[in-house]
Amino acid sequence: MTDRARALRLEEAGPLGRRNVLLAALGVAILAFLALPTFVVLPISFSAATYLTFPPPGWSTQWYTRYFESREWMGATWRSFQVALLTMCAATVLGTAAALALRRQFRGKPLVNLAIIAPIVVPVIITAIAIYGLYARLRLIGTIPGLVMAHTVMALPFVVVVVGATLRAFDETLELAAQNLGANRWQTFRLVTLPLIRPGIISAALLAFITSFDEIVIAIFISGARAPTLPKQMWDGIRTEIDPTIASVSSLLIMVTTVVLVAIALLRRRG
Amino acid sequence: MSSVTRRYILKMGILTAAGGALARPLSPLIARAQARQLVVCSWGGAYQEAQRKSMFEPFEKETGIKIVEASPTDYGKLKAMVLSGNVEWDLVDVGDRMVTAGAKDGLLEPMDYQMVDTRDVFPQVVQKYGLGTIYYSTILAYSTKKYPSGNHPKSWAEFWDVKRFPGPRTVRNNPIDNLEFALMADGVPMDKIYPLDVERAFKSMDRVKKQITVWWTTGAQPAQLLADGEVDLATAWNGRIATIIQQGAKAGIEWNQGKLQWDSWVIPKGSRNKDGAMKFIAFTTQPEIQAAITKYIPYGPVNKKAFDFIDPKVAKDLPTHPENSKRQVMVDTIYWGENLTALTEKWNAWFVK
Amino acid sequence: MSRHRAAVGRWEVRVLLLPAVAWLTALFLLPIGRLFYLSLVGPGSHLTMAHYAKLVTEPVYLKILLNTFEISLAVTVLALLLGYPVAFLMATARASVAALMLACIMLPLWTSLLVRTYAWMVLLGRRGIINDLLIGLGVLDEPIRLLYNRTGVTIGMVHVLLPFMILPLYSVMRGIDVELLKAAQNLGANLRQAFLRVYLPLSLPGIAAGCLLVFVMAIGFFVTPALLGGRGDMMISMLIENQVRELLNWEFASALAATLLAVTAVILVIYQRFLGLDRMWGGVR
Repeated sequence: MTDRARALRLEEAGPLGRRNVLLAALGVAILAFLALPTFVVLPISFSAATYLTFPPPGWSTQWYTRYFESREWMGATWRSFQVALLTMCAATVLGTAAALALRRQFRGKPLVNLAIIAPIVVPVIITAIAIYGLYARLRLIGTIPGLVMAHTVMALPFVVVVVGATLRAFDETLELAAQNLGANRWQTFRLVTLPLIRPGIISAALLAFITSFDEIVIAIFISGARAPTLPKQMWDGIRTEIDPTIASVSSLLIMVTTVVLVAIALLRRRG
Repeated sequence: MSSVTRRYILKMGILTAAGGALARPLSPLIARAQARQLVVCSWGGAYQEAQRKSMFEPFEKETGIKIVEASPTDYGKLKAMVLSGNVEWDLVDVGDRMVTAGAKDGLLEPMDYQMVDTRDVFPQVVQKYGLGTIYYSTILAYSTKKYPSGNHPKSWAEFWDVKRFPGPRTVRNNPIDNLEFALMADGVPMDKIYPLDVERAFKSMDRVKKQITVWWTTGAQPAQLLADGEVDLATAWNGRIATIIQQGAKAGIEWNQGKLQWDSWVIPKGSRNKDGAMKFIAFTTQPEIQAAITKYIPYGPVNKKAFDFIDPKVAKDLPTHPENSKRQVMVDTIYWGENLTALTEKWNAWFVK
Repeated sequence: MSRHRAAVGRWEVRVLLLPAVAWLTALFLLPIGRLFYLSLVGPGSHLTMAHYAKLVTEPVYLKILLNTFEISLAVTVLALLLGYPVAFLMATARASVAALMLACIMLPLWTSLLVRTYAWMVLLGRRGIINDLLIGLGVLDEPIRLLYNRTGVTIGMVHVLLPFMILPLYSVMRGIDVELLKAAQNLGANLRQAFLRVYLPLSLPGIAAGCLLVFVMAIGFFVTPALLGGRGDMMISMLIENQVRELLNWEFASALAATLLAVTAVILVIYQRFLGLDRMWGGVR
């Protein structure tokens, strides 16, 4: 075969030639491993059996009914919503401000950077016991403000990173132009910067919400008996209940996650 | 100072002040709300559900005090709460040994027997720092799928015999539901179990340690594992197994060499609603309420008069029924109360080896 | 005029940063600092290394450290083996296909960790789907033990951490021109040589980034090993939880936490030194 013919053959077959098909199959299998297992909770949640068996002997919505009728489960869900909402507000405000400040150079900036992303890199168990020790002395265990403050610590770095990335893509000369035209700093921020970085802020806010809503390790320590969050309730339930109510809660969570992801994707498309 | 920063600081200041102003008038409201609610911690799962239907809901209806449930009971957690001053549970359902242990460690409030009628209660469970609520047994549970025709292990020696009865097993991750069985498996007769020969018990546990697939920590687990087919044999609390049998699981209870024990109500020191807790204890010691729980889960009453209200068919499955109790060993609660902490530490060290 | 603006700018930066930094200091830095303090203090408030000594001298605790290391290493290697092909496919696919693949990766990332772990408890059971399937297909006669042991923990952790291997790999591979492979082949190399000597070395930063990231996350894991593991799979985070909540042994727990933190910090310093921490975020959004 001439060199030219070989080159053409390679051109058509892609970088790996015929092995492309095998590789593609492998890739699909691994992606299936990633995406599919979680969905096993869906059929379980509709099981007619009283305990975990597969395949389910019949279909029923009893576990969803049990979830919606249970004071404990509904209370925990509502509590998680409250905490996540408040965390979202606190983390977004603090984080956006910090991200704005981090545009500038100043002495000690690397240290501040480190402090801000530290909650993500430090293993959660360490943060959890540190805060637990603090809260035990301040009597903040089992309180909503306590949960919000702790979750804000965890959500803050994400907000700073996301808004920071948005700001990096933002053209600062627009701000300079606005100021040259006579706007003061607040007007500049409100009328020029904010609208342009709004999609980034909204993404960051959603990320903060989900970080708080799904947070489990810290909640195990500080949510206490009186104020369990939904993940804490699930954690207890996995170990103390034998019925698949957990499966119905899990299915609902999966559906909510999917909706939020789609929303973010659509936001991306627009922003 | 630029106008931006001035406005920013102003905004922050107003928000903080508003937050603080809101918090203060709420505190007496919070205190009053706490008196109208009672945080009860029990063992979760089917047992707590039975308590909910037979005790918590009737109590709420009669007194208007709202019951907030917590679970599961954990002696370590209780100790941590009391010692750190963060007592979240107003009333706790504990195993009998925790009454003596808790009293020894200074974690409990004494019972106010002025408020409770204990005339017909078995004297064994009427203690200074706790009042009994139900009798239960830790028994050998087996899968009827694996052992359909009565060929299951019928003693602890047989449970320990992994050659004759191979297969996955689950036992509790706690010395309390293990050491007596380990001794019985080693040949110690039931009437000579106490005081425990601890070294011998742990050596006996070593023989079966590697065969244990799961070490359960909550009452629901062994029942679930049996029902799911994850294990073939288990040590478990009789009521939890009876519940899944009723729901159609293929499981069975072996009463032979079971361990009879009881649960008590205790009030942690620093409980926020001592009065409500005592009211609840008084309410649930009445014979009708004692009998009510047997409708949902087969645990024996501590009030003798309750038997007047219990269906004889149901009574057959109770751990305190003479046919069942004569084959079991009664726990030595004093022994466990004194040695609980030391043995738990020894167990934890042994467990990770 | 510019000096005034610079001065105002500095003030503004401080005010904008202050709330976040104050929050983190009060609720994160100081409490963790206190843990360090506790780990070095004995009864009577004098300095001591006794708690750290306990960690390295008692075989029980050494075993747990070893467990943690073994499990994390296994998870990292598996994640690399599974993640590399996927990242390659994503990097060389059409934009729409790559976006779809990215979505497949993001979906589990955004799903609650508890939900994912619970799903594995359902799948890996003795009468769970996987065993039922294998028995039904005739591959097995008896169910195999996939849960409450090393296998279950490893599978669960690989599932959770795989996206964190794929994303750094992908972000590096995106910058490698695939034409290079073709060029090498045109020059006479066979496929294996082209891959090993051209592509693989170029993807090395991605491999390093992914492995360090996955390893550092694995050693601190709590939920998945707690629910899927057996007696011999206790990891350091579970030991910390046990020491704090059951045994109230704050000093020893703090020593454990400090050790875990130190190992994490060392790995991240290596990461930063050779790869830059911002790479962690590169191409992720």
